[in-house]
Amino acid sequence: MKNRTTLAVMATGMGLGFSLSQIGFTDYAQMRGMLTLSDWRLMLVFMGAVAILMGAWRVLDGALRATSRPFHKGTIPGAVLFGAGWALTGVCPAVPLVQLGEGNLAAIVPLMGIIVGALVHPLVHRRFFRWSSGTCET
Amino acid sequence: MTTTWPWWMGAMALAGVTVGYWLLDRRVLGVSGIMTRALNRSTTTAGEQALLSDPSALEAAMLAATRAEFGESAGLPSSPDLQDACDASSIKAPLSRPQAALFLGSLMMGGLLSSLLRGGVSVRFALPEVFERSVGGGAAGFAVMFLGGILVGFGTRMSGGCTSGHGLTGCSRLQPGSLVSTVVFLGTAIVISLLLAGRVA
Repeated sequence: MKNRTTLAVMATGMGLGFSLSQIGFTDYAQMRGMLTLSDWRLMLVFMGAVAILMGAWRVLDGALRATSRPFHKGTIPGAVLFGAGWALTGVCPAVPLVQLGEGNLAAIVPLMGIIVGALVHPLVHRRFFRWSSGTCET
Repeated sequence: MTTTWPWWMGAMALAGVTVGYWLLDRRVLGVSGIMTRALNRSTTTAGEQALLSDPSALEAAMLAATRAEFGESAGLPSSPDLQDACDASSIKAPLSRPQAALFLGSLMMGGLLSSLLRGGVSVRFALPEVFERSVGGGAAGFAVMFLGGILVGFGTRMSGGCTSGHGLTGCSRLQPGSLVSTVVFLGTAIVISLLLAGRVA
């Protein structure tokens, strides 16, 4: 089982990184085009992927029950912060890693920020928020 | 940067990668979660990890705990949906730290492969042109990039997912938290992007 996980992780990581790069999600100008609704190509990629997945899960059965992403107190404020960061930097968590692979070394800057933010959150959560997220994660 | 993929090809690729992850290892794709795994020391004990790797032992342990709580006659529920939820083989051990790091490294490799296919890797260290025009350049620009990154890292952890976890996986499964999160982070990103674009005009 460990080897299968290793294979899955490598194949999915490479496939996702390759796709994000080829499609254009690592290009700030194209991300700005999507997020200003002036260029709908990337938005259609995203919406199309969700639509295909809806069909896929139905075919694969059982899959719909496997995860639970509950709506909790952190859902909305977290999404606002993420959305703001996404608009400013043009990146979602995977993108800076892909950009580094593309040779865009400046991506290390938002990546460092992401790491800091991800490490700081549980500290803040423990000290100030302390709400239930419905999962084992903080 | 030129791209040749029509939108439907991109959609198929992203969906394919997500389904592939599921088919290969019954895992749900969510990059911010994988990043969390790579950063934080695992909180599961060695004993728990061992149980998670052995479905029959896990099921026996779950049954024992259920009986301890509800009495000796307690067992599996009658409805197939609930039985499914109790299926020990569907409970995955989370990725180990090395496995999570391997995933993140593979993302990088994917980007490298993509650039090589495009004619070569051009190593550079510069802010994007559109960013510089609408946000700023130089040290101030890099500071905003860093702070923006903090917002992304903090926000995705607070919300419990990102564009892959909530956006692709959660929305396609109609998970309530994901639908809300996706609408909010997309909406916020659009509003702020329009404001930034307005600065150039």
